[in-house]
Amino acid sequence: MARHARQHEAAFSDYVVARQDWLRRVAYALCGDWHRADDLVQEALTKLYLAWPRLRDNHDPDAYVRKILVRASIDAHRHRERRVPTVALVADRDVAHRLGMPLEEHDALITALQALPEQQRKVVVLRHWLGLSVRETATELGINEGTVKSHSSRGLAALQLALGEQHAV
Amino acid sequence: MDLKDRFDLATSGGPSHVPLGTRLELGRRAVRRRTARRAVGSLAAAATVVAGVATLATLATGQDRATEPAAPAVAAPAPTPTRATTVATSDDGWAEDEWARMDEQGNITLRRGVSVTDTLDPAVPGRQSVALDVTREGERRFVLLVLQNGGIISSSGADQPDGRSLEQFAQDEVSPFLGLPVALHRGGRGLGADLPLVGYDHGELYTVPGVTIVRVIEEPDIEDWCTKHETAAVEVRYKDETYFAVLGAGNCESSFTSPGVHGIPTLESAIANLRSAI
Repeated sequence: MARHARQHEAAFSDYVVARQDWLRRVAYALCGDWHRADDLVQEALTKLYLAWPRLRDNHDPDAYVRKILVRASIDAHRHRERRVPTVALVADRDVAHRLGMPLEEHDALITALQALPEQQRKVVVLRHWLGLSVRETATELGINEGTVKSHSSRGLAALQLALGEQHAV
Repeated sequence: MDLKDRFDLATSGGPSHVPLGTRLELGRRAVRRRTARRAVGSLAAAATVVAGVATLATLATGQDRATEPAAPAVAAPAPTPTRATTVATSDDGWAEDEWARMDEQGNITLRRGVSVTDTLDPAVPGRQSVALDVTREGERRFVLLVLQNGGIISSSGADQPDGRSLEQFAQDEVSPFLGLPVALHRGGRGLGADLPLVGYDHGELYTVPGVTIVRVIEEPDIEDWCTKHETAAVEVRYKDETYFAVLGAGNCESSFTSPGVHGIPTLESAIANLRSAI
């Protein structure tokens, strides 16, 4: 392997180790399933691997991968899923509990989010979790700012309704 | 707690990540495939021409042969190995949606009129397998061919690739059991087709459709067995029979027993049985 390729791969490896957890959390919020989140992240990282030599210092890999994730057809991906049924053991679920969030609340937020139309869900995640501005969200999703605003207000209202007053957003 | 904090907590956890080495290998393969894609187009075109010649030759001579040797249609540049490929000269014996076959040696037979535009070889690391992007009469399809246990060739396809890469298709199609330590149902009391019922990896149990998990004992504490990996013992029901599996996430030679076959009455006895065998 050429020296440059080794350097690229080392830098890519560092990035993956540092950011794969965050990337999968974003994917999980978008799709509501850890396995699908893994698939989405792997797909995005493979594309990043291909693009890595072209990325310059002023390109943010996070933004590159995040854009791949949010522009993926999450629901279409879900429909073509053929994975065998899985049963998660309790170990994974202990994390939320340890962090002080009741399991029901942990599940409720993710469940409520998945009930939103895909584009609304993406807007809510980008705007209200990742903190992107209306303009940045519009650019990220390739839609206009007015659409972002309407998706945002409708998405939040639907979440509030689904989670109930005690979990008001 | 505001929404951002709630998101932070709700997305915490999850199973272990895909190993870094796997991610790198998938990236390298994507690079190889991108490089290969340009070259494969010309090879596939050549194969289509040869297939046509084979068909015409057979018709002209009246030969009663199922297949005719042709140029390697699914060859890809090094380091991907070249497979021997033949093109069928007749549609007889081909199922409606069957466009390609593979034998135990990995030789490929393409259905008449099928051309290959891309290939992923191997499609499943460590397995005799290939995924093909094929076209026939203007229709496009992905095909995955995998040599399973016992010489069984599994074949699956997707009519509408739908923007997926060939690699993603292969990942979607392949049973996760192929990469997992699995417990096998041996097909009754003697030898039979291996049927994986339950596998364990990254803190999760994988079951085939029709399997019901009755109960699970995590980390069953079997001294000196699979010490560096997560383990679980599980009781499952499948086709009205009970099976016990003791599984480790590493290559720990998982144990699989059945009351009906092995005379082991409970999950605890299955664990004790393995414990005494260590």
